[in-house]
Amino acid sequence: MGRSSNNRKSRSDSTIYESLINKGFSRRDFLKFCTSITATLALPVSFTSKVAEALEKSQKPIMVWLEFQDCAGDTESTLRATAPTIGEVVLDVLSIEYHETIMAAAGHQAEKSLMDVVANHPGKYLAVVEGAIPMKDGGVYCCIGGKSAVNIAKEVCGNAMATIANGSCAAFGGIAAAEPNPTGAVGVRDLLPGIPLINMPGCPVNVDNLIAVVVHLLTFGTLPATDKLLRPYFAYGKRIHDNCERRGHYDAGQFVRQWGDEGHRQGWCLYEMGCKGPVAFQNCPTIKFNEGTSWPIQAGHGCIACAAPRNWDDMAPIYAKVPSVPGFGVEASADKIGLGIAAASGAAVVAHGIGRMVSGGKRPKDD
Amino acid sequence: MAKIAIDPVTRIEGHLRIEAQVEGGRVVDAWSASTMFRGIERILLGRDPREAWAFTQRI
Amino acid sequence: MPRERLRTYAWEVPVRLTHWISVLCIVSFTITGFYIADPYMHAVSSDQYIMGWMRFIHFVTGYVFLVTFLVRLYWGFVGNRYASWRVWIPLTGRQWKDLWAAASFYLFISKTPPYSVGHTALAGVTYFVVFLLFAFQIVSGFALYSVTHQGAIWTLLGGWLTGVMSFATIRMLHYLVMYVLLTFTVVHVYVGWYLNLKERNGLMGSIFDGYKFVSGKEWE
Repeated sequence: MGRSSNNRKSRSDSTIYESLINKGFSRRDFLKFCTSITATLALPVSFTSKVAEALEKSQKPIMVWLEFQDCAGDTESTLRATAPTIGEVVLDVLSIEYHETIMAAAGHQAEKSLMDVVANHPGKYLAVVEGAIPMKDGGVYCCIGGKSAVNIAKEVCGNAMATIANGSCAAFGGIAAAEPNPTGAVGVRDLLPGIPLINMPGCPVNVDNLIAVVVHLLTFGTLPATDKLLRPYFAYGKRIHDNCERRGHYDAGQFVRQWGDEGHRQGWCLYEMGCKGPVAFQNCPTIKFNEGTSWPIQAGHGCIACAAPRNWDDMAPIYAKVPSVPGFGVEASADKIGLGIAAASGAAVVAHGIGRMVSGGKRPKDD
Repeated sequence: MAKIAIDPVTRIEGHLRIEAQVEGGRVVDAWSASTMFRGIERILLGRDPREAWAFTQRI
Repeated sequence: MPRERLRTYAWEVPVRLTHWISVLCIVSFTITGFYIADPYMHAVSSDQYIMGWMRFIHFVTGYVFLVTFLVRLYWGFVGNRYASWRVWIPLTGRQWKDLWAAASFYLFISKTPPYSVGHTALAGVTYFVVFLLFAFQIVSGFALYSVTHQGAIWTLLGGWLTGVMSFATIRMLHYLVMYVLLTFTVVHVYVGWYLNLKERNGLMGSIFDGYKFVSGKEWE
């Protein structure tokens, strides 16, 4: 990406629109972008002009991107572009003052950039958090510049205009919080319940949704409408199952039974291969990933409900249709338990019948 | 004689702390410390092996 | 010398009707529910609509079962004493005594069958648990249904459960309880046959025509 927060020349007082024009995009490109973002936000077409106006007028907001217990997958998702897209440029012109994976400075100079933002622009910067925050043992399992993730999050997110929990780890604890959660990993909300926060789960997050949230903020000055889990409705309101291109095969009864079988080649439904589409909520089938290239089901693998809280435990095993019953081990499933109960009761009933016959089946006297 | 600590090392995936003992303009000793731990190996224990790839690819 | 028996009307029409409608519903639920959970038939062409039909029938049955359940619940308050809700919950000392008497018969401890005109106390308690399981199936079923049906009525019928447990857990329990109810069915039919054999009071026939042949032992 090659963008450096220390490159003072790229930071000017120009608006987002001016920055885009300076990067070589045409007004037409700009308006196409505004239209697609309006659609992603599930707003009517008439809102396109409002979005355009906001981007024409807004100064570049300051953003800091914190990484805690992460794999940098959400950063990678953001960086995934063969040619810079307008969305990527928007993120560029957002004046990202701190991002460990891409910034030029290191060590205490990097930390100074972060602390400067908090000190000089309190309540005016956006905090993006990627990765979970470990709470066990005083928070030692993630330390940056000698400070624990817990303390960094409290200080930086506590003074931000708004925090975006980017990816499932920052939203709900993600993979670090999967059983047995050795480090006591939690999402931002569990640590800081009162702050203005929006959760953008996904493993990784779909960067198009992230951009839409930022544009929404710039256009309306508020975060978009969210559900109980603080996920924006425009991205997490609809079920995967209801927008899946393979739904017709599901309704017909055409299922892949084995990897590589004829049904798999024909693109049939992946329900029997453990697809969690019926219980997962995100807009993957519509906007897909990598600039609309593909998404898991199109590629032939079932959905793992990566945007659901505790998906690694609640939606496990990945290849089973019905989750394992907790406490019964990996191989147990409702089937086995159910059949076990039914078989046991059948056996008990037979035993009872035989027992009664053997014991003489004594009839009460006066019958 | 000075000890330098670089934390965080940036432009890498993950977190890293490097300390170096510098004497007369030369590094005479150095330490590296991994500053983040999640326990993915422990998390994998007891799970269906067919899904191990999904966890390990997220390291 | 055999005792005289009195032909006694125990099971009223609503009781028997809701019973048999429930039986048909459960058969329908099992056939369609099993398919939804684990498709046992594959379509040969995409013009077929197997899963579509299975789900549709499952949902229609769900509504029928909801109504049947509510009717029986209502009848538990307005019907005769054998249909009353009081049968389901042991409130009196006599009921507790009868409960133990029935249990000890099935456990080979006692040789005296638990004679009763209506349900034995054990049966009452068992059916109460079964009604709770029915209620859970209805609520969890509508919770799963409410995913694609936004609206106050579906939130009321079951959507609220998603605030208590995850979708995946609801699905798993909905499926598991089906097995529990199938187990109950096996035991229920067996006990009916067995008790009918022992008591010779027309128990099995009574669920069809409502009459039991009471010999007086019921009040001992």
